[in-house]
Amino acid sequence: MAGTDDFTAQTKPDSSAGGPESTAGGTASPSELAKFAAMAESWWDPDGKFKPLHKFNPIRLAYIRDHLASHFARPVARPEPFSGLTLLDIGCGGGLLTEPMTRLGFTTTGVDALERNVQVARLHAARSGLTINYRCAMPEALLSQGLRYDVVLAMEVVEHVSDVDLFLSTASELVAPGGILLAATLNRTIKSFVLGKVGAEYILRWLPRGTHDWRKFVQPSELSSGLRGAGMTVKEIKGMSYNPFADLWSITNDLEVNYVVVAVKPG
Amino acid sequence: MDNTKSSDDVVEADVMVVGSGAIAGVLVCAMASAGLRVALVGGLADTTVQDGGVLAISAASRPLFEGLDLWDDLAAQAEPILDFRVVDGVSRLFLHYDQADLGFEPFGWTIANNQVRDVLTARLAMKADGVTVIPASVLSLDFGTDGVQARLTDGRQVAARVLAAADGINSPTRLGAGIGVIGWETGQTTIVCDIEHATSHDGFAYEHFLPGGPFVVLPMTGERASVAWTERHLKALRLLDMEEGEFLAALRKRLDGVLGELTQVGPRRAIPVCPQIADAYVGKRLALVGEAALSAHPVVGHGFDQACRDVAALAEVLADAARIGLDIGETGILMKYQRWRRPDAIATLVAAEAFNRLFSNDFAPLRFGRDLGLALVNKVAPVKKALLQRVTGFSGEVPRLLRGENL
Repeated sequence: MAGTDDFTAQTKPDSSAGGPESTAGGTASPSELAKFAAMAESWWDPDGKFKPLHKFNPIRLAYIRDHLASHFARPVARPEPFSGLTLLDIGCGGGLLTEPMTRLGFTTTGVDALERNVQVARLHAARSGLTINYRCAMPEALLSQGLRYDVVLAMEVVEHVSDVDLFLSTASELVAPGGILLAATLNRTIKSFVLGKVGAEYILRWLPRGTHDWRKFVQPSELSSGLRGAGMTVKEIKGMSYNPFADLWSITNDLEVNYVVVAVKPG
Repeated sequence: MDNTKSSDDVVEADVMVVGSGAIAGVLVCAMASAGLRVALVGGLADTTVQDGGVLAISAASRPLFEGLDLWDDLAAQAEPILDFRVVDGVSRLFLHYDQADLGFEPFGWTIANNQVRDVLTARLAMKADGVTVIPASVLSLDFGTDGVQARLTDGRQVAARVLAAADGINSPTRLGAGIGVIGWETGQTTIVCDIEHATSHDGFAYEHFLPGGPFVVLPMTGERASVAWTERHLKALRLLDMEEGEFLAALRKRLDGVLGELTQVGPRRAIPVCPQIADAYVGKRLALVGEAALSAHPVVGHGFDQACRDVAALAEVLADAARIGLDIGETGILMKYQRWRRPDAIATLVAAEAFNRLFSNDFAPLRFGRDLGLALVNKVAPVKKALLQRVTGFSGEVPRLLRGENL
């Protein structure tokens, strides 16, 4: 999947977006709220604008869940297996990962650089009857407040940040001792240019053109070394690959396009 | 609403099940086994009513009941089918299976309808974790974008992610949701009744194809059997209206001494044969299960098995979605259930109809052809086995609960 949480683009200028930590929530006008509601519909419509993300979501959710279940030794067959643990979703977008993680029992925080994403996510969480702490904030802000989380997710977001090393060290610092971090992004290869950029944006039209800047894609070695430099132990790197003939996503060993890194912080 | 209800009046669940038959009960047990919170609206129908008729559970469906820990209770009241004979018209050519054809297992088991509900009601009364049985009926349903809400006759409400409707062939829920059906008129009605007979049946099941429709006898516990006698509407009506003595005489003639002297006959029930399939197996926040989705011609007699397959598939789809934290009532998830079950249902519907058209007539060349066919099938082991598998089992991927695995 070519990083479809495009609204998380921290570097993309967007007129409708309030800046990080701008006054959110209560001050939005009714017409703005209606706009957010319409956007929430589109974020969460499995056949809508984010269809590829919805198709991709079960595979990455199962992958994340399996790692977390084995890391924290929680049985997956029980309801809310992760209760008592905290999770931070960086670049939460409309909440497509944050909501499922909340249902699995985590006490969740979702942050996004775009105010409108946070509004959309809040609205949808309320409709889903879920309690999620959504904030329009940069990870640095959480860090300066001394916040730490058992799990930090940075899925399909690394390719949008301006300073990868700074981002990785901030995200790593937010992981509590004994905690775990998962980061997914796009590799910088010829194949990812053809499939992840040209294929996803121009041929399949999964993503709006200009969603990604291929030069900002991050190689697995860069991501791993950034995490190691921040005191994390990299446990696994896996590819997430799309088979256009079966129209199916799967976890593979092909790191050429989309991949995910699992890293833990020593206890 | 003009009054503010306390939260006690809203029952929250993952799945709301609507239906009062055995399948609704099995569905509740299957969902609960996966850790889903289930609200059964209405509860199961009164089990003291001897409504006649049996449910036939094939060997393929048995793992579902074993996995849900229901089998021991059911088996205590079940009768195995050990011998299965198909006869066409008055000819002596027939197809004969005995249990050796499938190994040493019985083909299936029969259990009286009300006894199945008895077992399920007892199970639900044990108040398993996450199961709420609400003895009230649905006043109105609201299928919303984020969930389904029901208002009940006792003033309470149920809020769930998805509604599973197992409310029968004329499913009010399906009608209410505006899902149509494709079906047709067969001109046939089945008369169902239980009989008692003098000679032991030894697990013998019997299907006799006659011009009006199939005449089926299934063994029950003791010296009893269940008869499903399909005829053209008018003939069926006459059978229904006969004095008991007259009906006994007609039945004796039809049985032709197969089960020895007929001693008793229970109340008769008429069921019109209306093969149909729902236009969609799912709707917004809705999934159809069992006869609400499919009613095939009873000629191949595995309606209950089809419904069991629905239960196992739906429970698996919802359980898997819940365990990765997804909203289990999302259309994308419900569509998986439809893609899994509807093709198999269509195949069953068509096969059953073809069977019925082939056998429910008295056209001599066709009879000769099919008799030759039956006799040939009987002689050619692989064909015989394949046909048996179609009749007792299914095609397509088998749900975990039917493979003897837990969810």
